[in-house]
Amino acid sequence: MINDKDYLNLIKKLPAYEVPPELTYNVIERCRFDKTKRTPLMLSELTYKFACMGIIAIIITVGFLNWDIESRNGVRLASNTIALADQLAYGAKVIFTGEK
Amino acid sequence: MRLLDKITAKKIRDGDIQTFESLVNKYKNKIFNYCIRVTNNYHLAEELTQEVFIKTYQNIHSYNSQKASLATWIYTITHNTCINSMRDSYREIPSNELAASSELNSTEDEYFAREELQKLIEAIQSLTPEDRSLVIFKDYLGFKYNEVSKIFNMPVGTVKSRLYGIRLKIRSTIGDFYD
Repeated sequence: MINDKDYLNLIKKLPAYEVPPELTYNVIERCRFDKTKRTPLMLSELTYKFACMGIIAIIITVGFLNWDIESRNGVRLASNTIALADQLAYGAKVIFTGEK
Repeated sequence: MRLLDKITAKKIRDGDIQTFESLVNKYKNKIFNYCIRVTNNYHLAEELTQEVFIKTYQNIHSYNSQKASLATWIYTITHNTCINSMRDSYREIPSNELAASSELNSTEDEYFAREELQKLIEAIQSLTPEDRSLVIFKDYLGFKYNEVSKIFNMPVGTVKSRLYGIRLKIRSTIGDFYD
């Protein structure tokens, strides 16, 4: 039987094959195509995130305005959105001023 | 080293095709030769090598530099892709498809050397795909035991004992040639 050392020398002698040149090109082109396919999705994700942040910012702003209007004039604007904003404003007031 | 891997992965994740191209150029030879030796089929190896790189690109977001180096991660993909391909549809591959070295001239020594390599290829092909993969990574491509253990997700001791058995099998298969 062939010994371990001869076997290891023999297996190292197995010829190595050259990679076909078009292989790299094909891979890169497929990945480039994949990237362009993914871009609109990434954009829409970004748009969605910005839209959510915008809505939250509007609610908070309206909430603060409402708090201001109420404290100056005693005017209360009745709507579901404003009521929600009012709650947010109340929360903010408690957090920032400690008043209840 | 891992920091470099992390940066490379981030660049590819951000869509840097040039970084990905240099990654392909760095690993393509070893991956292609691994695929050839596991499948014994040139065209299938070509397909599998492409598949490995596409998978690498598509799954780069799941690479964790704390768990393994980028090289180990890519070779794990390579191993899994080849083994799955062999499992999915067992391919009957003619053992003489890749002759040991057909370009050698026919002097007596060269003829003997070619026959010797052919016998080795046949012995490797007689193994299960998993065992073949193990022997190719360790003995043909010269990976270290700890690298092989990470790729196969098994302890170093298990890798050593399995390799011992596989080598014994190969050596006894090609042993007749020396007798």
